[in-house]
Amino acid sequence: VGAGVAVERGVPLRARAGSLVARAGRHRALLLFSPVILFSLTFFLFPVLSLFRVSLASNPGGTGYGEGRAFYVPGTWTVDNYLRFFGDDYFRQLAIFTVELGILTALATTVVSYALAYQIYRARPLMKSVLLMVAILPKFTNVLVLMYGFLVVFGANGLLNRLLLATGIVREPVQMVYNLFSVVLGEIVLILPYCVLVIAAVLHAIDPALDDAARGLGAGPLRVFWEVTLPLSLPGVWVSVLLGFIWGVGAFVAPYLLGKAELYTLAVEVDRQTNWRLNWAMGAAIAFILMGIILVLVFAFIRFQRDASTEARA
Amino acid sequence: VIGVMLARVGWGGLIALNTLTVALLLIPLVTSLAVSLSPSEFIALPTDSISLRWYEQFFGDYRWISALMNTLVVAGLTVAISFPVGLLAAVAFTRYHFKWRAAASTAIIFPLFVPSVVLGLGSLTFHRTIGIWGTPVSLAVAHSLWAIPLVFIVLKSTLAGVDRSVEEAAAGLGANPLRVFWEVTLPLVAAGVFVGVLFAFIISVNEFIMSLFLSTPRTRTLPVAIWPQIRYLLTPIVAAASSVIIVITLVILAIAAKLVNIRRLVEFR
Repeated sequence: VGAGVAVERGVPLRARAGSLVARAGRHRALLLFSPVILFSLTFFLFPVLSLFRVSLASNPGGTGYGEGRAFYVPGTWTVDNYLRFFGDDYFRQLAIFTVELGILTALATTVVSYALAYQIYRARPLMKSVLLMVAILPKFTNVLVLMYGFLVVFGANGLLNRLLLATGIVREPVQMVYNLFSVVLGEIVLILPYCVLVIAAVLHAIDPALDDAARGLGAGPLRVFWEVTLPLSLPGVWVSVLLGFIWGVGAFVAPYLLGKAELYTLAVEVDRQTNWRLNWAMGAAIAFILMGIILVLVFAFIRFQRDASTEARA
Repeated sequence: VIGVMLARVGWGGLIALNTLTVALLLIPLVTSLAVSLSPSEFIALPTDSISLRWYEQFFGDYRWISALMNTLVVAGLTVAISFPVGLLAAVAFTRYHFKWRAAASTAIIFPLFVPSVVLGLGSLTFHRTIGIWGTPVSLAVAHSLWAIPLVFIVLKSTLAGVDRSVEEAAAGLGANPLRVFWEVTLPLVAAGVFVGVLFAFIISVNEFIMSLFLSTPRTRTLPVAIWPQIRYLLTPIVAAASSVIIVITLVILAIAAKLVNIRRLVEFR
């Protein structure tokens, strides 16, 4: 019946039918999306709002344990936690160090990831699978297992030190962990999988013909890399730097287990305030500031990168 | 000629750096596994003989067993929550065109980029308010914040690879959309679906920071149980506990690798 009418009235009806289908599609899409929208509102947005609310509550004082008291005073409104943060040298230093560690982590992770991704890009199929498997393994392993392994091998009482002592190479254990180097190394292992995947994906998307063309025009392998491969893979590098920065600033496990008090980050402080001092309000304020720092720097980075790429094009 | 030599040196340096990286990635895992098999009272590599005494101790201690059970229950719940939610979103994303597609995708993936201490503490305050704190569900919904984006990403790329004409043919033969999806699309993406489920499971088994904030003595998961012991390398029991997690993960990964070609992760063409 519909077909007959459509033929009779021609285009307008078909267009109307099309828009009906599109509207049905929109409804169906909305229906399919509703669980994830509901979930995100309930278990992502509300917790973040709840965190903000708690950061504006006053501290209970005392230990919180066994006193039947909450870990913040419900119903109170104050900005004391934020004032305390920005008025205290200790917290300000902590914030600065956290950002520095994030930048260092982002750069180091990207360099290491690029090298590995490039070899994956050039490797034969079997080697490619093996290297990819190794690269994403840490993401599927427990962060604690990784840090534990580090400590077992490189710790003061670890296997490497005992080997060095037993063979008489050194007389006293060498301090290989609890310094900035070990913290960054730990973070690299934790962040590298995503960065390798991103950079490798961008490299594989480059048209191999460009490579051949550059070679055909007489460019050596280094020049092909420098003038063809690297510029074309820059989008992946930017994403990798961004990911490294976001996760580097949020670093918690590596600074805590492979670092020492001077190498602690804002995330570690959130845990100390919340789980040790049982001062949820202060912990929430620091967590919120941490998220703010990340958002501000990510936006700054995206703008900087956009400006840089428009300039490069001009 | 100098250029070629430089390129050789550069490639050699690259291989050297990557060898170090691969060693760095593998050493912790291999060491944990090896130390857990040591008969020694202290942290040591098993040189003369291997022993399962630390596993016996692990499986003989109800605290470790209950932590293991909690971990598996929470991971199962995480799959039960994140899989249907992620699947429906991925279907909507690949089968319908609408204006806010890009925004929707960004919103789904966004929690991956929020520090886990923020998610952990935020969930803690909110879950206490609504009264699910201290239950496995509390941990599972927090883990789903990360599992849903991953299920969504995996299923989105799998569903995008399905030949639409097959679906259209089924629809043309009179099947309604639900039946098309159930009898045509789903069997075609079965491997991807399975991988999505496994990823969600692995993410939950290994998640630590949110669990640290959310778990109570009754809902303590394996990583949270390991945490207080890890700084003091007392006995290889932590290595055994770690190895249990590693083995669970490796088995699941091996199944996943068998089902899909891992190279597809980076090769789109």
